[in-house]
Amino acid sequence: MANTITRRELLKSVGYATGASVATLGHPAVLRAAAQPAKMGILVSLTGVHAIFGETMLHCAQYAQKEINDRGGIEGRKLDFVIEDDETDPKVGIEKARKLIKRDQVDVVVGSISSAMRNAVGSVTTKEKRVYLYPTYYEGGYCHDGVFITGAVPNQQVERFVPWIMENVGKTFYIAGSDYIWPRETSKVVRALVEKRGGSILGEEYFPWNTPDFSSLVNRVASTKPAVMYSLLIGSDSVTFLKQFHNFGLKKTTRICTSGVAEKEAAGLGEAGIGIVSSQSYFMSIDTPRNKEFVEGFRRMFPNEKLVDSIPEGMYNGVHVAALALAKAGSGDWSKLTKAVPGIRYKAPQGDIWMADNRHAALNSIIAEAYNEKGEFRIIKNFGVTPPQVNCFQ
Amino acid sequence: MLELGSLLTQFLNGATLVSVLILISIGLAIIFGVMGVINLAHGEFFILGAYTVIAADVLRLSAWWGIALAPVVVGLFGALVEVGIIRFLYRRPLETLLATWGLSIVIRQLVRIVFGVGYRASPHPLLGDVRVFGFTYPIYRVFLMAVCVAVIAITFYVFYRTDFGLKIRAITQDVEMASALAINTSRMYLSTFALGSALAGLAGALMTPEITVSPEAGVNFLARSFFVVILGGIGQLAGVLGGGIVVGELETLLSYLISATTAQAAVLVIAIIIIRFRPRGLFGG
Amino acid sequence: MRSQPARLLFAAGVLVALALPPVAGKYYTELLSQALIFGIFAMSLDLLWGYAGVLNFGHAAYFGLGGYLVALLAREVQGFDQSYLGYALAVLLPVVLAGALGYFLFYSHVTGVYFTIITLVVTMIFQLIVSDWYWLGGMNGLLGVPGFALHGPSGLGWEFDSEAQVYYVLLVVSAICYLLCRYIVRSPFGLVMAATKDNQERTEFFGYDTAYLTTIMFMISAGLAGLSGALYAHFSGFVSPPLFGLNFSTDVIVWVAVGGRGTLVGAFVGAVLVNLLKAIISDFLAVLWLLIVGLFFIVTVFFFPDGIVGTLRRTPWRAPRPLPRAASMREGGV
Repeated sequence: MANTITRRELLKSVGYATGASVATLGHPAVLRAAAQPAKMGILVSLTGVHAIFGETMLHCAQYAQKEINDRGGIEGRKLDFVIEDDETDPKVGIEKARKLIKRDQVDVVVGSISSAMRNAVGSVTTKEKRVYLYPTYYEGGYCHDGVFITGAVPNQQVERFVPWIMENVGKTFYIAGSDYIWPRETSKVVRALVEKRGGSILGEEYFPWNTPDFSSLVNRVASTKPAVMYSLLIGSDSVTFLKQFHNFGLKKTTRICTSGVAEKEAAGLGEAGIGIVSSQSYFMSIDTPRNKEFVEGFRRMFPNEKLVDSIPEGMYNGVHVAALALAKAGSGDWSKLTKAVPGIRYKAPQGDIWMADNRHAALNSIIAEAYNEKGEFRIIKNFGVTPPQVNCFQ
Repeated sequence: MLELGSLLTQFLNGATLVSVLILISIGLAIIFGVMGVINLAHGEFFILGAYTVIAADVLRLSAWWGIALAPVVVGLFGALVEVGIIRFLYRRPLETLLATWGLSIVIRQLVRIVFGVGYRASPHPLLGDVRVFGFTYPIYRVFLMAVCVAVIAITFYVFYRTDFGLKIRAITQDVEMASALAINTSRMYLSTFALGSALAGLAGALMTPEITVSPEAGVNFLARSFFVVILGGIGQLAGVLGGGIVVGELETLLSYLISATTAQAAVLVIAIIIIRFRPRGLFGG
Repeated sequence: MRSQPARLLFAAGVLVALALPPVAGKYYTELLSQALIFGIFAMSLDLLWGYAGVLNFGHAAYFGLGGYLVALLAREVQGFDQSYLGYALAVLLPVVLAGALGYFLFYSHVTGVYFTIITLVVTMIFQLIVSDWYWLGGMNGLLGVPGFALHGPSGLGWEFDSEAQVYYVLLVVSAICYLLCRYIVRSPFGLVMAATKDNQERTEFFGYDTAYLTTIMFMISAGLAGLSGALYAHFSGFVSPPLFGLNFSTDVIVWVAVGGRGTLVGAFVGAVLVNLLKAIISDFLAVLWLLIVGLFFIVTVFFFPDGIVGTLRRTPWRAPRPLPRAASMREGGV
């Protein structure tokens, strides 16, 4: 087929090519750098069970991207996203992380929700020497080079919360959680705090994923009569349990306190969610100009998004922190960027946050109560920033 | 006194779980027993029932309307599926499996597109307690048990006392002979599939106040109904009852002794061992 | 038997496979390596589904078992032969499990759809167990499985760490597995298996113990699946509960169905094609991808029951095969 290309066409295309290269050379150096955008890999669950959070996480990231680019990008470089869906499956997460690094050559990776996914993605990014920011609250203890965390660890969710509960609700606890590492690690911290202050734990139970019926747990709670039901169940199990707890009419005698329920879960509870007290680093109803600006701007960009909770906000912060670090380091270079992240301060919707030396973020501890059927919370108390405590065990 | 009370509630808990399992599985078992078709989209049919309640709520109809409409909506949908897909695959059961799995993915994505990805709340139709021998128990759970008994009774009546049931049983035993006797098999298959789907939809609608409603929730219930059907055996309505009782009670009772996961694994191992000696299931003929 | 165009196609395929890494770049080389592992996995399913007429809807159980065994051993046992021991166990344990299941099911004449849903529940239980048992890593999975390596005594060894090296190693392993499977299905055992698939009763009248034969085939299939799981664990460095998942089990069925069941090569064709397509398409259509997969499932069943390789083989240059697409007796067809 090659012989059908006429000489004129050939000359024309060569002419275009030279013209283009001359044009590039003609620009001053700064602008040439501007033509090369900074690339961020966004890894979220758009399908599968975690899509419930993934979609909002992606939107929060995109809103952060818009803010950054509207302000002139990162040191004049435009911020580009490469978005990948991890399908709520670590197997796919690994593949996509490799794709982001080896094919798209992103400067930094941000995202994913479960600890399993973080382990999967982190194993790739650390090996390939690329910085990775993980936005979800988790059990703590993940210490690997180049992995930074903008979600809360147990002490940030619990340290201020438990004393508040014991002062304002009661001193007898019943703990129930999903059977995996985050509830178990969190309950250790809760138990220590409760026992130190002379309270007691009447029961502690863990349930497998997708338990359809919690009535036997509800009965045990009813017969031990604790003042506080501390729920560490997550996702759909949390919703199922709290619905059944409500249906048995136990909310009259026992208060539900939790660090695993935020706006998204409460929306699935409707009437059953009213009165639940939760401790998170962010709630949508925080009454500050910064948060109002965030929520309004976000809703203007995505009118269909009703609720933002702490995980998507962590994603939003992650993108901003990564952008600040990229600006500080000048590039995605591993040694420069890993040094650039600690010490970064950022005015987040939840309040001021900063990256501590242990690769985790110092975040706010906020207690709020669900007050309507739409899953909205009313702030009870904002304790301000709590530094992260991390014992590396993962 | 307290002992007796907790024992009674424990029994009621087990009975609720059994009712729920039977409600979820009976549609699957009927379709499987009569047509030899395993409907892998059964969990999604169940979830469609739940979303019918949500849709009714959006339209400002009460939850009771949702529960009443669910079997109709899902039954019609099932009829569509039978005419559009299943009908062409009668002689290829494994292919039916694949096609219905594909269907389940499609339904899940469509539900997501229509209703959004998040958990959905629904109004509770019947909050409150009932007093049983001096102990209180949620009235809705008692209602669930009653519905389950009614559904079982009606299904048995239809299968063993009506003309329709007679034809169905004829088809189950020998399709060719049945059609030779001028039974319109394809119409019977259509009604069977629609009936099974309607029951799945009803179960989903009834369970809405007790479960998490999200597009991904169907698969778990599919797994559980398989458990019941495997243990109970094929082709026999009584098998569903037996399977439901064994699975439900074992899970409730064993969960006191061992973890629920181990309990489920144990139930499966027992089921497989039983099959060696009773290939048509524990309660199969 | 093999016709001229088929030979040419095969040779071209081999050449392309050999020449790919420098052209494809790091990421696509790695994607292809993964597709090869999945291809072995798919082939192991094809052995049972395509040649014995029994569909395992929980084939991921054996893959996951292989992967987890390797990962556990790598974490708990130190020493030069640790990886060999891992491979050996990754094959052995699935074989034992399949043997036990086969004994209880095939000997009770449980085949067809009923067998299929039991296997489905088996893999679900496995996923539950690894998710909930803490010492198996729970939901978080197990990190830190070492990469591919060949170890000799006294510290002698080669590690394969570049993408291209890993790819060639997997290419060789795949070729060996393929030849092994081809040998099996063409052996007298394989022929009796094919007869059993077409008509179990008639084969039994000839004096063959079909339950025994099917169990053996199931064990071979499970062993190969375990091997692919072990390869995957070394390849990705990480195992987690979804390896046992229902989704993964159905993925592999799609690969075989797309490539063409009962063809062996089809398993590889399907695995490579679907994974490549997914990597390319899901970039643009993350949410719609699943919808496409679902519809594709249905369309394949209706219009391409023979898959790609099966359809190609029916093209004019070959003698027409008088095999109708109605299911055999064994699959529950009437």
